[in-house]
Amino acid sequence: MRRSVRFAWVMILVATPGAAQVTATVDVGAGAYRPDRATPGGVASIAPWIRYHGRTLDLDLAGTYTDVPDGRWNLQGATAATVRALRSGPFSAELVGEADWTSHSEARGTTAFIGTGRLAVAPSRGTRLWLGRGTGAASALGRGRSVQRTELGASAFLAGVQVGLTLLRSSWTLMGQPEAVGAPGDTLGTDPPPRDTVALGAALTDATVSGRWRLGTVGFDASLGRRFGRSTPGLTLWGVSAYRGITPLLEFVASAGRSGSDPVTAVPGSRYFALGLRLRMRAGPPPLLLPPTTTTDAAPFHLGPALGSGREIVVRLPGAHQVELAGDFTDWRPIRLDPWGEGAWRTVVTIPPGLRRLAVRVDGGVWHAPPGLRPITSEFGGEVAEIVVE
Amino acid sequence: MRAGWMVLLFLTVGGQARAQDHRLTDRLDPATAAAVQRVVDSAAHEGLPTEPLIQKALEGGTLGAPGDRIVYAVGALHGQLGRARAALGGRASEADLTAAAGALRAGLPPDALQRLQSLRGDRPLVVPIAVLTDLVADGVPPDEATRSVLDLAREGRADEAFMALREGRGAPSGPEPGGRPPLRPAADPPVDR
Repeated sequence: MRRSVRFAWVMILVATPGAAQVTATVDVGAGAYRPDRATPGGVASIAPWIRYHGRTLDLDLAGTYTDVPDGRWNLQGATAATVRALRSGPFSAELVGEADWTSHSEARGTTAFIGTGRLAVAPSRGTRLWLGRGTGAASALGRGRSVQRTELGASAFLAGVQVGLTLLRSSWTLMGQPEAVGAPGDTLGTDPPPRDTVALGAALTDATVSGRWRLGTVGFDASLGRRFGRSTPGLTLWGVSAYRGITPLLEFVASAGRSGSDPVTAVPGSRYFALGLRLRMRAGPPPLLLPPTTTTDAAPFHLGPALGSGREIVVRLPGAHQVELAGDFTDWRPIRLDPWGEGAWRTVVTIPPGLRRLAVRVDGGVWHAPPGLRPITSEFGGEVAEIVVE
Repeated sequence: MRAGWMVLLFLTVGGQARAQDHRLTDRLDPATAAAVQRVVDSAAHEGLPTEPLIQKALEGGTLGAPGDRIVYAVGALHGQLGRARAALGGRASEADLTAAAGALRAGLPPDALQRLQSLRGDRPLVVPIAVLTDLVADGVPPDEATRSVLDLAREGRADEAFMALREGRGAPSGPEPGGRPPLRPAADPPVDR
């Protein structure tokens, strides 16, 4: 079989607002945990999670309410917004804003706000490397502190396993205090040093390898990491989760692991084991976000929603003097696109739903796949692309 | 006997009455157009969709392919559509058959398509098949790709979930491979350090 045929790649278009996706689950479980510097025992937890995945924006909201021994409770929330700001070939940039907080029955809670900028490169499909730098502020134990983060990561899909590698360095400095060097990091489980020698700033690094895969009907998430710092005792962190569908909306889930303390807020880590059920919420109608206007949409290929006059197609081909488009929705008759500013070319054409093939030609040259779509070698020697139009 | 002759006469007249598609005669040389038309007529007689065949020929014309190459490609697609219909049955839509033909061309076994169809019921197959084909084309072992797609179909997931499966293979940007955080107890209050 010819390799060109086997590389029939399909671009599922997510340009329309209907392609936005909302995923939500609620975990209800019970188990045992042994927190650092606190009373171990049985716990019961409720943990909702919701994700909005749009074309340029992701939102994650997660929370956990845990009922712990002696009538105590802990509430933990985490939110993150990721904006995919720029994309040029294999390079991309994104901005991430995170807001985390905790609340406790017998102690003051914590807050943390961190903004991170990431640059990423995808050298091949399914593989990505990224570098991020973040800064923010946190409050814990009634004291504010400034926070810096540097992250280096890689991910790839290897032999059916989605693998991630990350290095995350976190440093913080107590606000309004002289910066100190050589502070203890994750000294959990040891006696605190005398008050007058407590350092006012510190840094530590987490190196983590993680994976996600399926074996039959069971899915697995696993991570293994090592925490270290200049004056921090080494600490091995790990976690394993397994989940299996019982019905389309219900899964059995089991988790165990050793989590580290939060380097920013000093919320302690723990050893834990939990069993529970995960209820998947049927996603409702996606949020009605208007598609971005084409003049500000930097995507190299854009397919608009179905309108009465057809669908808008915009391709970015800076420097072209004439751009033509042909596909099985034009009977492969070339149609000329109109210049649309900033290197963009546009047309509106009726495209029936289904698997569609198309190609573009610049200045009367050879036919090739539109930019942003993966090229397929046609049986006829040229290059085309395939898209699924819903 | 008389009825049999009537049927034969009807089929003959019907076959002759099927005009050549003007898109073929307008865009291809007469010999190529005629050869493609014969394949199209054969497909129509078998109840297969003909539009993908015509579009394949027109694609070849636009890309400047020689006539014999166009006829060969159209004939190959005819065979793939037939195998797709054998896998999915006569009620499959043209869109499903076209996507299934691509999956078979990519090396996926017909029984994978049959299992997907049985799990999806009356829902369209285009997106799951396209994602399955894409995963295999991207180097995922067919068994692994098939299992992932069938798992989603078994759970009754919508097309967006299949799209997410394909996109999910992209690049998690956080320390976790993506997805929801693990079930674990909320932490205790902060400790002084």
